[in-house]
Amino acid sequence: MSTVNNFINIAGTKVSTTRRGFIKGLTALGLLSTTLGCERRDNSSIEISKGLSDDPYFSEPDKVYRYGTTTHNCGGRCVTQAEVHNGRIVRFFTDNSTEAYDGTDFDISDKNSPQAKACSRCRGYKGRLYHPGRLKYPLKQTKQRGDMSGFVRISWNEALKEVATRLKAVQQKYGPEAFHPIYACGNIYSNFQSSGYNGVLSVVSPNGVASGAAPAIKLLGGATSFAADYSYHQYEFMGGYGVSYSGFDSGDGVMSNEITIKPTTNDIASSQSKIVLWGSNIVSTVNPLSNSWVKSIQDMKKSRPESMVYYIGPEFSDTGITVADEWIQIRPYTDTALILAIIYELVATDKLDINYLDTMVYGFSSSPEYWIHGKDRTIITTTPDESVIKEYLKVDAVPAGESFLSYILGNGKLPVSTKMDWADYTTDSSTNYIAKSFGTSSQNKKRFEVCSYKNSLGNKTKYLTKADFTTPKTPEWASKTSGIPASKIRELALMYSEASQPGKQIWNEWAGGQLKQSEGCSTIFALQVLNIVVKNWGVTGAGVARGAIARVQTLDPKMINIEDVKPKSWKTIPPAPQTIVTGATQWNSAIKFAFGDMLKHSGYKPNLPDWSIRELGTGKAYYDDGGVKGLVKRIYDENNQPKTFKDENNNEYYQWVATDGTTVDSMEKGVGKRPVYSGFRFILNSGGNIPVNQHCNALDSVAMYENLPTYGYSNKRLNVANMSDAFYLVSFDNFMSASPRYSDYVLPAKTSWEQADFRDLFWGNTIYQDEVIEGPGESKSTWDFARDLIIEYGGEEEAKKFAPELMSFKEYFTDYYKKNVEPKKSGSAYAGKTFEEFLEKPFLTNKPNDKKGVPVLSNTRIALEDYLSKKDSNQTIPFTFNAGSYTSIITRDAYTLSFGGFGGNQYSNPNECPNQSGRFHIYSGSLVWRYKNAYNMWHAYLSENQRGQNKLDAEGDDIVYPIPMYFAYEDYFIDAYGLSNKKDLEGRFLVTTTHDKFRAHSSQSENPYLRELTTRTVGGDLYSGNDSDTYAISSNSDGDMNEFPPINSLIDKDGRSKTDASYAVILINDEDAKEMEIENGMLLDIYNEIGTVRTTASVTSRCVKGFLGLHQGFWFDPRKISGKLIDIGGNCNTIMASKPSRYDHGNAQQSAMVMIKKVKLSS
Amino acid sequence: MRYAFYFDQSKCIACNACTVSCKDYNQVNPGPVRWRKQETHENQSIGRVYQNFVMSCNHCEKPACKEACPVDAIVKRPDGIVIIDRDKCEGITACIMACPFSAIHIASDKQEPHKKEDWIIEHPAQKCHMCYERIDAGLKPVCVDACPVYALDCDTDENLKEKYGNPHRLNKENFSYAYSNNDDETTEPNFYIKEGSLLKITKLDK
Repeated sequence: MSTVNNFINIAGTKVSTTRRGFIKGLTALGLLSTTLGCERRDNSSIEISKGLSDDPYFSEPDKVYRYGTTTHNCGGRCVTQAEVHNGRIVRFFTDNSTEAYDGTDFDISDKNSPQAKACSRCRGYKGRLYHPGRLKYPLKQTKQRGDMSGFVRISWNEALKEVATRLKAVQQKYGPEAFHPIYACGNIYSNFQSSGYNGVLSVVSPNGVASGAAPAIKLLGGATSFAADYSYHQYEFMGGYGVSYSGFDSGDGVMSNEITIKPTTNDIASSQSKIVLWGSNIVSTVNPLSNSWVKSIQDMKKSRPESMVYYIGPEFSDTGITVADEWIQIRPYTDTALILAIIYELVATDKLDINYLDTMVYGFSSSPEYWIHGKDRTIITTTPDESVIKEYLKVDAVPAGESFLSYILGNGKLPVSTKMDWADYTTDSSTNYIAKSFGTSSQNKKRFEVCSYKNSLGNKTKYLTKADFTTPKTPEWASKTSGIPASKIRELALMYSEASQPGKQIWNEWAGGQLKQSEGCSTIFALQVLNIVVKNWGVTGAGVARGAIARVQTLDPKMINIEDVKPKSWKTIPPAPQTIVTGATQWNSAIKFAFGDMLKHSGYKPNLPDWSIRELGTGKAYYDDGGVKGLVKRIYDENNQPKTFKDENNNEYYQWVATDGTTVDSMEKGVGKRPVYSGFRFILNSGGNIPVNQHCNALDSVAMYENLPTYGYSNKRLNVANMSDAFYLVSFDNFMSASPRYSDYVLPAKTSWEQADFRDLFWGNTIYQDEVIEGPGESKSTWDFARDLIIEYGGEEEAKKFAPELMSFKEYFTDYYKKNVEPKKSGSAYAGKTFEEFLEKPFLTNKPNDKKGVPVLSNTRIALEDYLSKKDSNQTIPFTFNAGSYTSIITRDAYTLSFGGFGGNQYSNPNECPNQSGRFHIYSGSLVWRYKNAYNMWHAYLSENQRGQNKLDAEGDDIVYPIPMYFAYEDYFIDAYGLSNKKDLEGRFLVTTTHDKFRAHSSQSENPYLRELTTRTVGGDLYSGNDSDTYAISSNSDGDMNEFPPINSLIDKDGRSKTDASYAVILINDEDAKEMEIENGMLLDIYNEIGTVRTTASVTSRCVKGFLGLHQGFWFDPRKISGKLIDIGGNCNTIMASKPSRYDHGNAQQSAMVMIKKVKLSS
Repeated sequence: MRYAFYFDQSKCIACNACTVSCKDYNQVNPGPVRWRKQETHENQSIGRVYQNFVMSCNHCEKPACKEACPVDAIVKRPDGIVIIDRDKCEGITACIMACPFSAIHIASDKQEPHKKEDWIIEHPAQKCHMCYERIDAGLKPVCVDACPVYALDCDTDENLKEKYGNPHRLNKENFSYAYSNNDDETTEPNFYIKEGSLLKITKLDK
């Protein structure tokens, strides 16, 4: 050994045996460390070292180790440990706990291993912390938004004063409604340092009320909050987190133990044998679930070799590669067609249980109008007597041509193979209570007829969806659409038909990617319906949700509770005005709503093929969104609730303020008046890239910012005289990414390792992360930024309510710890420990629980099976499982309470909303009603027919329907691109933009350790790019900006690039590539009516023919090349249309139809 | 006794925690030089269509690189770890050509901008050294400790065989893609692998 050591040159000296002995002692204490030959390169603080042989390893004893986690929105929150030397992080390690909080050992590689090992995103964090492009000083735009040469450095004092004054001016004139702290996810999972879900600057309102605004926002005058987010907008709209329209709870809501019982690792290992992954990519997007998934699925296959994991999707994800046995290729966004055909096949082969469907499912077949008695659940099909009518709940009819069965049969004919009698309800032939009751109705008793949804133009319709109304949804039909062979669809149908049998339950894991399209709502609905009709629910491991297969473990009950840490003064801050809660993605339209008339005259050219400049104007909402239309100035009462009034029909509306100053508190008073259009006029973008990068149609957003009014600029064209009438975008962030570039003020923020915080790890245990290193330049923590802004806005006394004694969070928490934790004798895991000792391990390792998983039947399922087993003796009474949870399917109130911002206080006429029947709903009248009437309580200033949302498509037919239809994806693009019909889309590729594991959305797009894994030079392969000191550095100067603002400075103004410039990778199917003579590494322009992105080809069989995979999160970086703007940064949103998703008006933005052009670069 | 790496292909999720932590720990700047590499190999004609693979230097029993180096800059420790003495390297690149697995690299000025005093040349060869200083201290290499799914291990070959049954030793028949540089099958790589599972693909109907 000694001979080997002799030539290991450490800092120019030979290592002696004695020296090594000393070193071993250190490492045994867990103090393994180093100091590095780090040097600063000119103008850069990125670390340069000379390699390990140069590293005086073990030689410096004065280094510290500090734990932390991340706050970017990757879906995880694992544990990292920084090795810090002289105030600089030189290495990252991860969680190496081997003992649970109670001192017991565990097997680290077990499926329930409580280690929280970090992935590449956190291991490469040095590339982010010490990036030469970190923002260091406050900057102010002085020329025109987006002109980098217009940024000048100002002091924090100036910046805070100007920002506070402008915010106040806007709020004063347009109300708190006009202030919008936009959804941002660069710094999200934090309790004291972020604007995310529970940070100090958040306004997200999971319960639909703006009193959910964080303390700092309350002290800044209040703001319009938003519902949902960019990930799960459609899922949340469909009630995924609460009670869904279908009544099929996904395991998170009030029915969590009744319908979907998510399988844990123990359940998968012990009792599951069927898993269907609907495009899941969860081990990449939620790293903390990776080991629990991989290990428990391996355990499943080991103990039950017949087990199967199917993966259905167009791009074979890393999750698929590791856990799937079969990849069923499918064309993107055609899952609903597959599901319809599976159910058609189940009808054709008599595999469905009519008795169950009649008992438990509303809308599979048609039904007459009926009334349910509130107590005994008996039903009658005639209007109850006036004296008892209040005891009944009315359930609307499902017209025969509109039932789900009618839609899947299409032309109204049962397949010839069907033996079962689906004809009609009769009193004598059925033994089922409900079927017999329906048989007594004087209305049409048919279960189905020819599908009768309206298609006014018949064969001439441009929409494929409507043309298919009367087409039977056979496996052959779905095969044509989805690309899955009909025989495979039949095979899947057979598997699903057995799902209700013991041990044959199917776990369906859907993926967020299903939602990033126009029709995510109906896809979620269809997945629920599939599980409903085959009775795949009510037992562990049956059903559909996302994020199952979690570890089983317990938390230390003696850990520090974050709620206790929050300053008591926060509770004394009065609530913010309760504004409307708009959808998270509607801010763009809300800006146009406020400034439409000015934009029209300032030179803005909309990049919206479906919304011309003629339609634009103040008070006009893109796509007629109800939330945006509700953004007019309001009057608030002493409790900061918006004041209401009632019209002559007893419908309730919010009052509004007219331009002449009148408060309109009746319909009459509003006649002839115009409201003060608040819209969004002041956007605070804290730690996010939504304003440009992460919202669809970046080119349109940029054109809009460049033409919105400014105040105090030298630019005459856009200047307004009154401070309150300008638009403001203020970014508080780490980098000059796409969004800060178009901001009026750019303020430097610290990252997670530079600001003290108390956070929740993914698995619920809390972690304190210290200020481990200093932030660059004058960067501030979010806490300090909020505090200092409140001082300018409302004075020091107000700021003290937020930050006690104006302390920093570190000061506050150190003080808290010394007063509340250290003196404790018991009750806390840190009782008696000093703060220094606490810092050594400021989180507690959970304790795994390896109990054998035994499938559990829910009470509802047990009761149902018991009821159905009485079939032979005739079901003379209704199925009444009334034990709390079942009844909650029934009421409309359940929706109002649990539908987040989409539900609460939005409807002037809620009593008109169709009732739920108490059964599962495959037909949901309330879904249609709520879409049409959305936000109408805020619409008193509009005429009656303008309240709610747009109801008809371009051909005068319905936009939304009560059943989960297959909406052909082409229809969305025909509208969004302003095309005349499907022919215009021929020959195009469908792009989807899944998440990969080398960015968290657009966070870390700048990180060279990760960029080299997702970008390539022309003709190059993995690791071919290296722009570690040339990418995203233009913000590094002290405010002396160049005229030309490249994020990628290796690519010139006209698109010419240096040989080492790298481009975003795009996946293309190998057979397509061969046909088009596209080779690996070839430079491709991907374009459509919305925009063009430049990418390098990655030829692979991992995606299906006709598909392109451009992973999301690259930074928008346009160049004007031959007169055309081309995004050489490869941001997928450059080619995404603005048109929102159908039902929820959320983001339909991760799908596009495009053409490909090979690029030949001139050098 | 000799140290070897173990890799469970059936567990790997291609997350690159190992490759990035390797660069971070060993202070290898971002850029084309990497000591450990993750790739997903595709072969539609076999049952294991997609094979996740991570590999660094395999610390061969008979290291071709060592044999090829005319200035004895490559040394094999008694415990099997193969190390490049960068002070001795003269940039001959014979080692690079000899290694079947493309494990040895030479950095560019951009990735390695500062020459160390004791180096003879600007950019001496470099590769994985199994974090020998961690091994000496009783720890696992940083890549092994990094893996969130416990797909990597490093231990003596006896221990690995005992722990993991009889894994494949890296060979050309099962893992031809590993031999990316040349076909030398005589080096006896100290790398054991458990293969990934079989995959059936139902392709799109045309």
